[in-house]
Amino acid sequence: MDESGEQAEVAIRAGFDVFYADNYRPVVALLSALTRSRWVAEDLAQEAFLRAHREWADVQRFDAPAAWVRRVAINLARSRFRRLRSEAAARLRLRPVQTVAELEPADEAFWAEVRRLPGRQAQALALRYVDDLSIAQIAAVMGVAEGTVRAVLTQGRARLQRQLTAKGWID
Amino acid sequence: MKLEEAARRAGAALRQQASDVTPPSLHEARQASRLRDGLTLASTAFLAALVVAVALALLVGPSRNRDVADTPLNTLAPVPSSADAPPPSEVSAVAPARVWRISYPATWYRADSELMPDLGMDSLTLATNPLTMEPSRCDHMPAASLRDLGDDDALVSVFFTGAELADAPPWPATGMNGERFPASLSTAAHVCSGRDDLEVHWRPWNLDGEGIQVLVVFGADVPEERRAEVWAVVSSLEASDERTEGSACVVTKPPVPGLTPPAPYNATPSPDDLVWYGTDELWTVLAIDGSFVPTKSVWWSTLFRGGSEEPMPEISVRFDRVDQTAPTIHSEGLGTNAYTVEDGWFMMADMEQEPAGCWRVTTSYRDATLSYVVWVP
Repeated sequence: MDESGEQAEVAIRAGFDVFYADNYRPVVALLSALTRSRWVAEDLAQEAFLRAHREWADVQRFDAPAAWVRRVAINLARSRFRRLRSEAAARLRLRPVQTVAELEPADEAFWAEVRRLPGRQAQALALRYVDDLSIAQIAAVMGVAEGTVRAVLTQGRARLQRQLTAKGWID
Repeated sequence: MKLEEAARRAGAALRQQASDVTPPSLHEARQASRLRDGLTLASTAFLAALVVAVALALLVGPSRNRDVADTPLNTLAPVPSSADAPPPSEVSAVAPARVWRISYPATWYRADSELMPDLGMDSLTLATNPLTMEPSRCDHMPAASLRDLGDDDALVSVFFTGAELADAPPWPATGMNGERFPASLSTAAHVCSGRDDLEVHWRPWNLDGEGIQVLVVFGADVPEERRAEVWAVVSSLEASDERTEGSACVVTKPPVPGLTPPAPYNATPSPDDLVWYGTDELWTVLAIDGSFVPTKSVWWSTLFRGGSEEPMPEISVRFDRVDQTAPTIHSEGLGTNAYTVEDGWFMMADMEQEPAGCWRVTTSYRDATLSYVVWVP
C-alpha cells in the first residue's frame, strides 16, 4: 500500500474510533431497555459495532451512521436466538463484568413494562426516552415515516399508561 | 407521578448506568463475538440438517403432498404423545389475514415477503424488470431491486402493517396518481439503494380500516404510457372480504396457570403474558393468548443433564402444515444446549424464520413428546 493509501486507511480508522466512542454507551443504554440485561446489551452492542466496523467504508458515507448502527442493534435484540446466545455467552465473558450502579426498582419496573409492549412500540419509546432522539431521528432508525413514529409512540404511551396505572405506579 | 416524568427518569437512569460502561477494544469485542459464534456451532449443524430435510422433503414432495391433500383441514391424525402429556388445551381461532388483490400485467415480475424476509410483516413487490433478491442492510426496503431498477422501469411495494397505521389517510377507491400521492425528495429508498436519481413515492395509507405502507418508484426516464400503467396497477389495490387460510388455524391456547416446573427452574417465564407449557419431562413457553412468539424453538426438561454432559441433546422437532399442503419439516437428533441465569439449562433447535402458516409443532426428547399448533404470521 502506498503512503496516500495508508493515510486514507488511518483516516477511515480514526473516523470509526470517534463514531464508536460517541455511540457505544448510548447503544448499550438503548439495548438495556429492550433486553432486560446489561450483559446482553453489551454483547449485542459489540456485535452491532463489529458489523459497522466491517462495513465502515460504506457506513461512514450514510447520512446517519448512528441511526444505522442503532437499527442493526435493535434487529439483533429482536432475535430471541441471538439474545439467548448472548446470555449463554455472558457466563463466559472474556472481560470481567464491570460493576455498574443498579437501577432503582421503579426504573427497572418501568422498562420491564415497556418490554411487554409490541416490539415497535417498545423500540420507539426506548429511542425516545433512553436515546433522547427526535421524531425524525427515530424515523430514520426505524425506517418508517415520521407520522408512523408519532402513531407508534402514541399507541405505546397509551398502552404503557394503562399497564402502569393498573399497577398503581403512575397517576 | 405522570407517565412522561416516569419515562424521562427511567431513561436518564439507563443513560447514567451506561455512562459507567467502558467500551471494549475492537480486539476484545471480536474475541467475545467468536465465543458467541462457538456457542452456536451445534445450532448451525442443526440448521444445516434442517435445510437438508427441507430439500429432501421437497424432492419427495409429490407423494407426500397427495397424502396431505387427501386430509381435510384440521383433522390430521392425532400426534402420538407420552403417557403424561399435558392436559387438553383450550383452543381459539386466530384472527385471519385479509385477502388483498392487485392487478398487474403478465409481463411484470412479482415477489412476496421473501424479498424482505427480515421486514417482519407481509409485503408484496411488483416490478417491470426482474427483481433482485440479495441480503441488504435495509431490511425494510427491496434495496437490491431498487439498485437494479432500469431507467425506464418501475417498482411497486405494499407493506401490510395491520392496525399500526390506522390513522393514515384513506386510500382512494380509484384513480391513484402522482398528484394524490406525491413523490418525496429524500427517502429510505434513496439511501438503501444508493441512488438519488429515483422518483420515490413513499407513505402510509389506510385501506378499508387496515394500514398499508406503499412504495412506488420510477427509474430516471420512464415513458408516460408506462407511468400510466404503473398508476393503474397501484389503483387496482383493494382489500377483499375474503380471509386467508389462516382462518382455519386453531391454535393451542395453553392452560393458565401453566406448568410449574420443579426447582431450580423458574416457576413462571418472563414476561407475564407467557406460560410454561408441557410436562416436567419436556416443556416450552407459549403465549397465554395462543399468539405467535418467536420462542418456539427452546425446550426444557428435568431429564436434560446440561451442556457439559449433553452438549448435543437428541431432541427432534417436526413441523406439519395444518392449513394447506406443504412438505413436513423435521429434524432428527441434533440440538444444542444453552444456559441463562434466569432459566437454567435448556435445549435449542433454532429456526430463526419460522415459515408462515398454520403448523403443528411436535417435539420429542427421550420418551417425552410435546405438541401444539401455532399460526406463524
